[in-house]
Amino acid sequence: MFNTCLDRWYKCALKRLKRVLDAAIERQTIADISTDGELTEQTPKKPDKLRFTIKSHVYIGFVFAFVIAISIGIALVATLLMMDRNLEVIEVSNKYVYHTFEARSYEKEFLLKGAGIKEAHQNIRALKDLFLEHYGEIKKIVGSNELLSKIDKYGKLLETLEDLQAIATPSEELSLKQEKTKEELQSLGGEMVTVAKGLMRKEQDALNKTMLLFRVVHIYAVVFLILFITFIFHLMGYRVLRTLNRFTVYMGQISSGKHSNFQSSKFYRDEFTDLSGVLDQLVKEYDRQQTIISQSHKLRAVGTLTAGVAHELNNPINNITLTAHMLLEDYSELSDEERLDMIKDLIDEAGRARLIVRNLLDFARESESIMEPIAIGDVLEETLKISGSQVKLAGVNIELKVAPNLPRIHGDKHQLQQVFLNLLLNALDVTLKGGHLKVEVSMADEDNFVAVKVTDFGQGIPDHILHHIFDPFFTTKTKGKGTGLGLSVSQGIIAKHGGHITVSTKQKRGTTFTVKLPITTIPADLSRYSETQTLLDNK
Amino acid sequence: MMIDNKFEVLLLDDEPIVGKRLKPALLKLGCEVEVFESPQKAIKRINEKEFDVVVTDIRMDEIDGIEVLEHVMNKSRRTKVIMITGYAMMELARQAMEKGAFDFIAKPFKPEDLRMVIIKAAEAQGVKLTLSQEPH
Repeated sequence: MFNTCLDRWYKCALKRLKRVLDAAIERQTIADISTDGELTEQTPKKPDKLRFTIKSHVYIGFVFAFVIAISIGIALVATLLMMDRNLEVIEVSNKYVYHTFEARSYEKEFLLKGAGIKEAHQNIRALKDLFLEHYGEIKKIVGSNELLSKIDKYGKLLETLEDLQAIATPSEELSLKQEKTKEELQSLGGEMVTVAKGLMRKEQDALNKTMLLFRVVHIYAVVFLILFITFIFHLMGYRVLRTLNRFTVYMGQISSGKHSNFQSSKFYRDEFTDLSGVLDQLVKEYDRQQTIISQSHKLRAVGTLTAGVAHELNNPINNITLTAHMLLEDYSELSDEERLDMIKDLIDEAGRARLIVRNLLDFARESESIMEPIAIGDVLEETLKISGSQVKLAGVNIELKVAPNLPRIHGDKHQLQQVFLNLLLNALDVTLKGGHLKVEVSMADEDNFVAVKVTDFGQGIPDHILHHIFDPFFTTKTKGKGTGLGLSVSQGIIAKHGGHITVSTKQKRGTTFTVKLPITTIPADLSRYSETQTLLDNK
Repeated sequence: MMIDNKFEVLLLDDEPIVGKRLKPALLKLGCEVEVFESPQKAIKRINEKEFDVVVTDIRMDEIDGIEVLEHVMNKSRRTKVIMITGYAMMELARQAMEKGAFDFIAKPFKPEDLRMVIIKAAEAQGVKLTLSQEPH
């Protein structure tokens, strides 16, 4: 009968505990949703940022490079064409010079020997044809029709000379005229040669200039193209590599448990922005999962504690039962004083029971993570209080040594309690009845770290297991006794605090788990003190 | 029942209220009751005197109930030992029964429950205890 009554009471207590936890978890999810809501409020801000993707970066760079390459090509072809034309003109002027010289040499032959006038005429005609054929080019260089008139004049003078030569009867007047014509012809011939040479020189100069231009365009274009492509690729490489580096840093932070926001301060958005958005979501989801795992594990730890707590609770309940029954039984025979004493006992014992339950619920409740400066010694004392009944039940003596004047650490009290509880329960499991455990809190050998050492004197951890003890779901405990999450969750929590857990073990001698936590560098929250101060002032 | 042959009970529990409340309850059975909170003192007393019944809590700080039980069993096989257990200690209770405990009673219990067990233990020793409404 009592067993059933006890069972009912136990089940009822567990149900209440579960309700409290469920409510807490629900609150957490609501909090999650509300933070999501904030996110959606933030999203409309995003389109304000210009979207400049890496894809468009590549395209723009490519198009620019392409356009520049094409214009360089066009410039080169243009200078080549210019050179071609120069060469053509040089050829023309060559012909021109040739014909001029030919004409002049035949003219000389004619003057000396009286023969060759026909060939001279032919050359002059060829000269004329050449001039007419390349009128445009020659005019551009020489600048006027003067040359043509000179050729014409030369031709006419030749004819005149021929005519004069043909007159058989020599006379003084004739020879005078002949001499005059000869002189005119020679000076005109000289002028024509000079012009022809000038033409040649000019063309040569023009060709040299064009070739120089061609070379300069060639070299500068190639250099510019190379510089431009390098610039574009450097810009992109810098952009990609810098972002990748940033990602690497973030990933490192995540793996060490520090979760900061991925969103960069860049003024534009790109593929990396999308990626970081997805990663942010991933980290958030991971965090959420971690919270759930941590919570479910906490629940399991509570389950482990429940037996101890139930036992602990039975004492006040038993006292209440006995006192109440005796009060009922002897009510009429008792003096007022005795009755009052019994009622006082009832109230005290009820208070004692309430305190036990409150301690456990306080621990089990899903509380928001509040990082605050805390004294690590207090956290351990509270942890020992929570696990006290379990420890007593196991018949183990725990020695807690806290070094005096330890600096505070920055952390979440409940999460740290969970870690130390895990370590204590693990240590309890390997300690025989009547054995003892040691918990030491002191400064770590590492600077700015506090160390908490939980030492048991059990069998130690075998080497082949040692590598796996922090793996999730790894357990050596029998089914239903351990989730295999205790150490993995603890490690996650400690990493989040910027600390680490190490283990040292000796076969058949025992194991020490050391938790190192960084001391706080944040000044104490003075606002609280000022608050109490104002309260006191008001009083 | 003769005055000089009273049924003698030793009650050991580290919770003071248990002894305080159960003593008058057991006195009503007409037995002699000695109450102890400390297992050492109780063992000392057991060494001095043979009790008819020893009621002991199983879980106590220095010496647990099983040790007290063993001590009593060594000292006097006649003495009936009744164990008080907490919840989740069925294994311990079974152990106690194996070691010769007369019976066990689980916390929380009513004074009447313990009285019934003690009456049973007395019967086993050939003594009939009855509940008198008036304490001495």
